[in-house]
Order: sequence, then structure tokens, then C-alpha cells
Amino acid sequence: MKMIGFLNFVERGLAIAWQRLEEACSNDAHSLGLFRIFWGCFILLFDAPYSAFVSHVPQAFYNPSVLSLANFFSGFPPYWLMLGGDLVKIWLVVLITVGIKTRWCTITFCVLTFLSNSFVYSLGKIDHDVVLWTITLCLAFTDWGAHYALVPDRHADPKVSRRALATAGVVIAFGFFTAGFEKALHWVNLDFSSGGFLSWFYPGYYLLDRKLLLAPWVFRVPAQSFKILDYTAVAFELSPFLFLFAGRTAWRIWLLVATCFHLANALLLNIPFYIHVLVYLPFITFPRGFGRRKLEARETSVAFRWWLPVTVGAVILGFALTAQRLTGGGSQFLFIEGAPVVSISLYVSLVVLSFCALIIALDLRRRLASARLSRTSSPSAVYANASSVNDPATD
Amino acid sequence: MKYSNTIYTVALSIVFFVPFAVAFVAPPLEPYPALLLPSGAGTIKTTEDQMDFTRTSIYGKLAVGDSWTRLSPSQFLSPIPPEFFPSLAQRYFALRPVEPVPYRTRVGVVIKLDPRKVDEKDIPRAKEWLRTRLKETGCEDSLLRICQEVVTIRRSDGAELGVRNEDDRIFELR
Repeated sequence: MKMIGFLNFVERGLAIAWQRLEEACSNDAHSLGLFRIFWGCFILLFDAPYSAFVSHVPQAFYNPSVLSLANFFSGFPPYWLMLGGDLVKIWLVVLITVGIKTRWCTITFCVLTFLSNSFVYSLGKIDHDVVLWTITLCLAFTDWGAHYALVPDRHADPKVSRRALATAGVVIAFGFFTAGFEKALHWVNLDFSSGGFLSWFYPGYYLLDRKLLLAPWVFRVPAQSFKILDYTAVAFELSPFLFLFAGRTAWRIWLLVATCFHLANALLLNIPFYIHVLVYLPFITFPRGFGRRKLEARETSVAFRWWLPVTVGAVILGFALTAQRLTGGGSQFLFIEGAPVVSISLYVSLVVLSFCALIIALDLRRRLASARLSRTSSPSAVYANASSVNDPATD
Repeated sequence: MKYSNTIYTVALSIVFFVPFAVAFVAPPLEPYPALLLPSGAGTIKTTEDQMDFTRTSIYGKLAVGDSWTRLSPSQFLSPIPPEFFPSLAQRYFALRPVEPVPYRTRVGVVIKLDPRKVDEKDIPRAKEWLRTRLKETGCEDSLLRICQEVVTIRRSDGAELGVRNEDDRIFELR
């Protein structure tokens, strides 16, 4: 009996917590539809599927992690299989972009990505793009394929859709927690003779030639003062759960800070972590800053054929990537192969992250303005309600 | 469903926390796929003007002359992304058997991870691959030198004060 009482108490508490998370993360289906088009174009341009190269690598280099799917296999798969996987993923992204069977395409794409990445990371190092693919998987259960789509998905159960977006928020918060937890153990102290930020900076600067943008300026600042950046990084990485529970506006403020954090990393450490743009933007009301009503009206208008440029652009990119793969080449970033990718991706990341910051800031400004408006209008609304109740003429 | 929120939260917690706990206790056991971001929680002394960094370098012998030249990982490995260079070079590109190294986990238990055994028949193919890479970078294709180095750098002006070889091996690729 006591056990049931306890379970009911836990269930009630969790229901309140999830409701709070769902409110903080919710977004309208039109914004998600527009974000889906942005996601597809972004993937095709800046993070295109390319894993076939592992089949050209000698089998002697195969060294999967003990706890990896690839450990069930004895070596890298044959070239035709990895190439086929890449081509299937490229065209799944094209289908997602134009909106054909989006839900199933998204789930298949994510499963294939986890599988092929397991083989790529069998070269001995695990990259950490998992947050992006997990959030994409969450989006499959929302209405991101229901608008601005050639063959729209059926609307998801609103409960499932809201929970999926809330789970995406939790994925971000937990991902950052895993990064911040260990930093907190080593970076938060009063030892001003050691630095955490600088332990990223110096090896990058001297060994990996990360000397672009503001990197040389780091030397003009006393080393001890970077301790403040260590504390800030830990606070930032451990805080997303607090902002999630604080509500919609607070969550968007954290997303803006996160984008600025990546911008600072690109400027000072020359680390272009631009794919996280796709992690932050699903929570942002996309078009309102650019005349949302007009866009929504145009969605169904014959005159405004939104699908024409999107379909043509996505299909052209799909064919170009296919041609590159079939001719034996391949690249994830803007079709560029080889060393130049490092510096070009850094400059592109500045543009992409700035765009992301702008979109979040516009949404935040609109949100704050409407909150101010509702605060100032609420006394008159109460008065109006009261007078309508008291005034027999209105009955 | 009754207790749906509890069941969902518990399931999500297991999916998130179990891999995190494994990776935290024993980083070499990091699973994939798992929801983990890199912590990079190391620190560096900021008071001294000289700093030591360890790195793995590969050298090829110039086709003209008799000197060694340090090879750029991104050029040498392409199309393998350069971030995989340290893990490949530290295993000597499978040219040398790597012994299992005991690893003390955060809970005090010592684990011994056996690196994947390289099949003898795969080694000629690895050598052939490395020979092609060396040829493409304009080096003699018969020798590859792999060094574990400690580089000393002066922080104030970035000057490289010296390179100390901790481990220096030359591999015959014929």
C-alpha cells in the first residue's frame, strides 16, 4: 500500500516536471516544417553522409571500441555496402528536405547513421556528433513533416509530439551535463597556476596550427585571468536543466548563450562546432521575425510555390553528392576534399553560428515583447471582463 | 497507461546514465552510440614560461637526399579525417603488436583491455597502403618513421625550444 502511494507521488511529480519541460520546449508545426527544410539543406551542404572511405582503409586498422555495434563484425564492410549506405542516406535527406514520408525517412536515416558511424569510429576514436542524430530521431515523432511537405505526414498525437520535443531538450541538457561534470571536478578550484581553457588552447595553437581569427590575442591576456573562463564553461555546461525548468524564455536564453559559446570557441580555439546549429534551432519559432503570417498563408497558395526552389535545390545537391561519391571522391563539407576544409569550415561556422544567434535573438525579442504586452494589457482585460459581467447590456 | 511518466523517465535515465557511468569510470570503455559529449577536463600549468606537449609524429625519407621530413597528418591520411591520426599512429598503423595495457578505473578496479589482434594476412595490405601514401607525399616508399615526441615550447613567443624523442621506430615497408 505504501509502495503504491509512493509510486503515485512519484508519478504526479514527474507529470508536473514533464509538463514544465514540454512547455519550455514546445514549438509550432509550421516552424518545425521550415526548420526541416533548413536541416536538410544544411546536412547536404555541410555534413553530407560520407563513410565509404573506411572501406579503402586496411583491415589491420580496424579497432572498434569494446562496447560498439562494430565489435560484432570482424572488419570494415565492403566498399559497395558503405557506398550504398551513403547514397541511401543522401537521398533520404533529400526526401526529408522536400517532405516525402518524412517520419520513416528520418528514423531510417538516423539508424543508418548510427550504424555507419560505428564503423567510422572503429578507426580508434569516437566523435561526438551523437546529440545531433538523437535530436533528429526525436524530431521524427513531432510534426516536422506535416507542413511545407510534398507528401505531408499525418499529424502526430499532440502528446507524443510535445513529449518528443521535451525529450530533445533533455538530450541537449544531459549531453552538456556529461561534458561539464568532469570539468567541474578538475576546473573548479582556487589553483590559479593551472588552466582548463588553456589546456585546450596551447596544444591546439602549437601542435595543430589553430592560429586563426582571435587565437593570437589570447597571449595578450594574463594566463591567470582565463580561470574565469573555466568557471564560466562549467557553469554553462551544468546549467541547461535549470534553464529548461525555468520556462520557455529562459530556455531560449540558454540556447542563445550556447550559440555564443560555440562562436567564442571558433574565434579563440578555432574549433568549428557548427553542427550544433541543428540542435538549437528546432526550439525556435522560425519565421515570425520575417513575417510569419505571410509565410503561412503562402504555404497553401498556388502562386507561391515554396516547394519548387526547395525540391530543385535538394535534388541538385543530391545528384551532385551522388556523382562525387560514384566517381570515387567524397566530402562532408561543401564538396571540398582534403586539408582546405579545416580553415574554410572555420569561417563558414562563424557565418552559420551568427545566423543561428540572430534567429534565436529575434525569437527571444518577440517573446519578451509579447510578454510585456500581455502584462500591460492584462489590467484592462480584467476590467473589460469585469464590466462585461456587470453590464446587462452585454448579455 | 498508469505510471507512464515514471516508466518513461526510468527508461530514459537508464539509456542516458548507464553509458555515462561506464565512460566516467573507465574512459577506454566508452560505448557507441551513447549520449556523451567530450569533457576535455585536463589542465595545464600557466605559471611557467616553458611547456611540454606530447605528440605522435610520422616521418618519411625524402626521395632526394637522405633526410627525414615530418609528414602532415591531414595530407598523409586523406580521405581519412585527421582527427583519427593520433589513434592510428599510436597503434603504429598496425605495424607493431600493441600489448594489452592495464588500466586503473576510477573505482580502483584494474582492467586489461586486449587491443584487437591484427591478422597476419592483413599486414601486407597495410604496408602497401602506407607505401602508396608515402609515394604520394614525395617520399621514399620503403621506410616509415613513427616517433612519440615531447615538444618544449616557450609560451611568451611561441618558439619551439626542442623536441625530445621518447620512442623512435623505423618500419620497413617492403
